[in-house]
Amino acid sequence: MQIIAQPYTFTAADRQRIEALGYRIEGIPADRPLESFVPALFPNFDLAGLLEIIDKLFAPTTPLAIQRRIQYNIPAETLHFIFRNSTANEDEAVAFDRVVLRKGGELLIKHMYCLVPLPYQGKGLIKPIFQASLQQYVNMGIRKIMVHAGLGGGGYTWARHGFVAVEPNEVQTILNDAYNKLSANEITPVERIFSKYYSDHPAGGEFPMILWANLPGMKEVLRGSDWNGSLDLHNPEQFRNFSNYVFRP
Amino acid sequence: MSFDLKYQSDHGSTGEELIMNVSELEETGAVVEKAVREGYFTLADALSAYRLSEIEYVAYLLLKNKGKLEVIDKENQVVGALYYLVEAFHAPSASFDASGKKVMKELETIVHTSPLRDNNLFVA
Repeated sequence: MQIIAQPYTFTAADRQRIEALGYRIEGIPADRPLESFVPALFPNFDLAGLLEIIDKLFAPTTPLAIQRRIQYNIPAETLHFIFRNSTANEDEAVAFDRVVLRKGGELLIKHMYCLVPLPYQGKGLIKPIFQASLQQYVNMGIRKIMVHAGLGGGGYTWARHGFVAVEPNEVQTILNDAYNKLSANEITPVERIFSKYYSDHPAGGEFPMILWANLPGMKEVLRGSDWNGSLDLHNPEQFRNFSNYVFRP
Repeated sequence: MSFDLKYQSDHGSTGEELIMNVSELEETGAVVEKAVREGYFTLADALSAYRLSEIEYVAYLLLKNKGKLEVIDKENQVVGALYYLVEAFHAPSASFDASGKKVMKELETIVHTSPLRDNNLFVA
């Protein structure tokens, strides 16, 4: 799947579209409007278009009040957009929460929350959102997607998507758990992958969780795990795998 | 189940929905291929570790390379398919009996002397 970057200029009209959706916009400094910030720091980002798709697909999934907020911080170079309903019950919650930021000269996006209420899971609401998101990431030249894999079995699922683990101590914790749960035969390849990776990359921040996820016994270990991961959109293999999944009919 | 606001993460069900149309064969085959390519295992060890048979791996390679195979004529599709078969059975063929080894040797000769060797078809 090839995604072609598309130019876009965010203007005051985009801000008005976002406000029309019901978003409360909070910026630092307050006298600099969103349209002076987005095109300068996050070029080609059709934020209004993305938020409209989220509203169209996610808003009908809940009878509860929805909180819509945008927080931007010009000195910190961060943009946070939040769409979520007012419940702490995971089975009823709907949320789409992202932070775009610059770090070391590169653009990153943190996937904070994305979920729909239980009756709407697996019903085709997610792919259009991720397709639209990925298009925007390409437009902006975002380097990495950051995720905290753990919620709702995400430790297993995001590993299967090719997200790599960035914190060696978290990988060690998962290995320790695997020692307790797997048989001697099952742990051998798990250990081999761990040893080779950290032998080749001491303190490495791209542990290939996907190689663990498909090993016998590791599904249950990873479903209970909690780790910080990233997906490098400039890495051809990681980008190709993820975009193939996202755009598959 | 509680939705812990301090626990920031895309939900597992979100990722499951994105991957729901990916077959187990495709997913496991791709992992075997990666594990071998990056030197974590030999092909034989990877197939054993991920519990994929040689035939399943051949099927994975054929499906993955369907596009590449279909652009060549049918005669050469056979050679392309043989290449994946030879690759997958290279290690286990060491334990074949004499007639089995002879078959493998002939298949290897066909594949390695094919004009297709010069294009990217043989890059699995």
